[in-house]
Amino acid sequence: MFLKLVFRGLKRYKKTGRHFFILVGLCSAAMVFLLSFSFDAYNGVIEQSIGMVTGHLQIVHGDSPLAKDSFGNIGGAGRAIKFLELDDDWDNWLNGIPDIVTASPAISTHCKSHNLDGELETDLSLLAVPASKLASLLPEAKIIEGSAELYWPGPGHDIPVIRRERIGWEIRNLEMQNNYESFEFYSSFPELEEFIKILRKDFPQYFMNSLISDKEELAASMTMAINDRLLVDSLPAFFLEEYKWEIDDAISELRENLNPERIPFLNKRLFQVLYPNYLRSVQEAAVAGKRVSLMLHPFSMEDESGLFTIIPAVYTGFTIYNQLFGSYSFIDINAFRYMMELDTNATTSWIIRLEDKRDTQTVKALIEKHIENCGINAAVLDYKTLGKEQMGLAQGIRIILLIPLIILFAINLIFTLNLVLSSIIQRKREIGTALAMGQENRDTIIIMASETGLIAVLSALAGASLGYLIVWLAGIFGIPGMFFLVGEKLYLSLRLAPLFQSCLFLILPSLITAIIFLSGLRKKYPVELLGDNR
Amino acid sequence: MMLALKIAFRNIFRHSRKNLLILLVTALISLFLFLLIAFADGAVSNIKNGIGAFHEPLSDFEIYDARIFDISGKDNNDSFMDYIITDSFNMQNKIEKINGVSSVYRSFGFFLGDIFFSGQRYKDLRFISIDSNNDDQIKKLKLKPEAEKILREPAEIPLASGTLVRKIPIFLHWQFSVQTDIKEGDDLTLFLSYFFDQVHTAEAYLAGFYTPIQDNAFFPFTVLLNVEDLGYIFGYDSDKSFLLKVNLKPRANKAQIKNRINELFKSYDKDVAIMTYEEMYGSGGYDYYYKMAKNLLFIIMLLIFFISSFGIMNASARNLMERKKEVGTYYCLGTRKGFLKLVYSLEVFMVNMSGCIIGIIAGIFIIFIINILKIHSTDPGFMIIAGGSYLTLGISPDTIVLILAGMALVTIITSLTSLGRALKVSPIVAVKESEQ
Repeated sequence: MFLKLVFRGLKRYKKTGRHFFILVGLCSAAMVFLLSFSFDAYNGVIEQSIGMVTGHLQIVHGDSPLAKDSFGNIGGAGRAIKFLELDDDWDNWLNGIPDIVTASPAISTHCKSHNLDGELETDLSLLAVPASKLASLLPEAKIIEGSAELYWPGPGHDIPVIRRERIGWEIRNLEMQNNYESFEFYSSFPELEEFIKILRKDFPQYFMNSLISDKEELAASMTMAINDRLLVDSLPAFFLEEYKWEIDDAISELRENLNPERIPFLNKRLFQVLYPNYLRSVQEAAVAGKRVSLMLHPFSMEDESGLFTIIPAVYTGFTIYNQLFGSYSFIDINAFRYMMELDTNATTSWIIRLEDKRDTQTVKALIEKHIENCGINAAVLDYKTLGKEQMGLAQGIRIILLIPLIILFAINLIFTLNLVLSSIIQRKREIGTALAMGQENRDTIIIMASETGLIAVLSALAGASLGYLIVWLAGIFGIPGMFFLVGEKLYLSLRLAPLFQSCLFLILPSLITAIIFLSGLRKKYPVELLGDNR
Repeated sequence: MMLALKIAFRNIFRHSRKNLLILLVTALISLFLFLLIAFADGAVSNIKNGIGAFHEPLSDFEIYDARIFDISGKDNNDSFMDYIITDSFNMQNKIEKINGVSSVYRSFGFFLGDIFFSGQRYKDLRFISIDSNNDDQIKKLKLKPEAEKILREPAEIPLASGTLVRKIPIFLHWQFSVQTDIKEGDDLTLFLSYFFDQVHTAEAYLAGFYTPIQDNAFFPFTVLLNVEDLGYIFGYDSDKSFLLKVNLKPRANKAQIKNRINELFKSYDKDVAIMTYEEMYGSGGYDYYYKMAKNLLFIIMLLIFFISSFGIMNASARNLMERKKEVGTYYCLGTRKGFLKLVYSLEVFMVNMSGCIIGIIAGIFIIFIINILKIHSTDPGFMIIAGGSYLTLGISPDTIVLILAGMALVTIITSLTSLGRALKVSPIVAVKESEQ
């Protein structure tokens, strides 16, 4: 009977119910979306931090700045500058803990990467780890280009380095490798005509017939010229009459080059040394296969004038980079120890990756106990301590997204209240009639509350479906503009928790609100409701 | 119009309960949305007053020797080190006298370098120069008075022999006192890289620790020193500067001032490049990320606004539907539908906008209180989110305008859609006992 009355009430006042349905549905859809967004953004930041930089746990020297309550990690991002020496027994013990996926010694430092001509290419944060462990240790440090081979054959070979991806001007530099742009010419226009005449005389096959009146057209003609692999063969002999090491170097490099993709850049370099008064020098872009010299300071110095260590390296690949927090470039730890003349067990930290993030504190406690038993001066830091900035960002996203959720909650509450009060006013005569015919006040309250509750439940579920559809689409296409994540896109995942949470935030408060305000009918008499027409 | 306004006003108070509800809803929504965007504005402001004030200090123009941008390969014995602003004191004074110029500072930009102390090399620190006259920057450092005096007045130190030497006073972030053993007065060695990796070294000492008024997790790498001292390290005398930063007064004519500066330098036979901030640094920078975050929050705000506006429209229209008798009475008295629509639109508009304005005023009040409380934390996470070490909420006129405009839009849509339906009432309803 109750159900019959409830459905009849809904049918009679379907217009009102429809509006409420739509409102709660929209709130539910928005809540499901925002809750999914909040969860995935939070976890995305943390997983990125753990998987790219920190691992779940790190063992560092007890006196390391990382172990102090500080921020900024002076001397370089995330670097501990005190060495740990944990032997193979430690390795076996750590990797024997079931919750640990992999544990690995690591040395983090900073270096400058120089081109072979001595020019500075860039600064790199370097992490030396065993080549075989990188993928399992930091799985979020995805390789985006190149073979990413880290294995070092031994002395006499360049050491492979997986470099962090190109950023900013480095991307621009790469774009300019194979073509000329007008700003690469020094000269003002009158001198440009002089330069064109010179080019026509020296390289008639490339410039004689082309119509060139400005820098752009000259750039286009020169671009065509540098893409010819036979350019070096058509070099006029007078350039070689007098020895100039720059020209000799450029020609040698062209002749020894086996990589056809480097030809335009090497030809560009040749042109620049032939005409230094007209053309700016061009820096070689970072590409897979590029050989560089890594310049590092020694780790400890008796005095400030210690010599650098130069490591001959070759980029074998590129790994992703996060704009806000940076990321590492990688090198094999054994190769690194050899070049830096470090002990075979020297590390600045042990990085530990776990099966499940939730085991972090358990494993941390286990390791701390073992450290204490062994009497080693070491500290165990979890990802929250190591990634304070990232954790703060993740928490901040959560807190900020709480505000719109509160607003939606408040909207739902307020409009439920409005609906209930309007219903009471609108249906006063009906309620009074029902009471007069013997219906209990309590039953009236239950019927009306059930109507509200039923609409709330159905609309919450319908809205949640819409919300899940949006989440599903966001899971496929990603939400752009997420600058705090690599790739600047957030992909949402479908989970049940937002459904339960949105239902909890919407249905229960609606019901409670309805019951509270309907309870005013408890003490009403039919004559009060029937007699008052206002 | 006046009559419609009068009736609308009267109706608001006649149905005060319902209108109060709508007013509260609009006030709450406006308040929360305003505070959400105010948070983002505050973070941007913190960045501008904090790390941005040193790493990317805003200026309207930056003046360089023009040859910097056209480094010639000509074999004419030019040294790159000569591509600087000479006679910088004089030029600084002259430019400041130009109408529309607020201030001019000397700068060497920033350079990366290392500090060596007690067997440790602290690498890849950012050395930033400060002009003695730049009170704006110096105020943001919270230095001890004696340390501030040293920063403003670079001095040579007399040796026992009577020879004067220049030991460079530098200022380190307070985190150095936490993470290292360096103390005030300790001797340090500096290694700085100039262009083309020329390394310059200098003997220095720690003159003091600074605490930025808006601290940031990226600050500890910043070493501060007087602009003349930084020039001294690179071998320049005190009257040379790598660039001049020019700040203009509000509504100054930029093009005109740029021409005046060009003429001034030409009269000294000097060719300069005058670049704007955007030309030099583009759209990136620390505050770029926070502006993106603000855009993100703005999109969320639109989502909430859309949902809540549906509810507000619905509630407004529903309230009107419950006043059929009143509407019917108006029709009986000969009122036209258009006039009624105007009356009720004005009523909805006044209620909505009042709620919106109340919400914004409450928001401004809350912002005022929170900013006075100076909620502070040096937790790196807090500083990342808030853009600095103090929670600051900002007020931007465009946010206020947007929220008001949004609410006005809701009202217009309500008038055009729901109100029309609500006014479809027969005059006979007015004389019926019941409305059903």
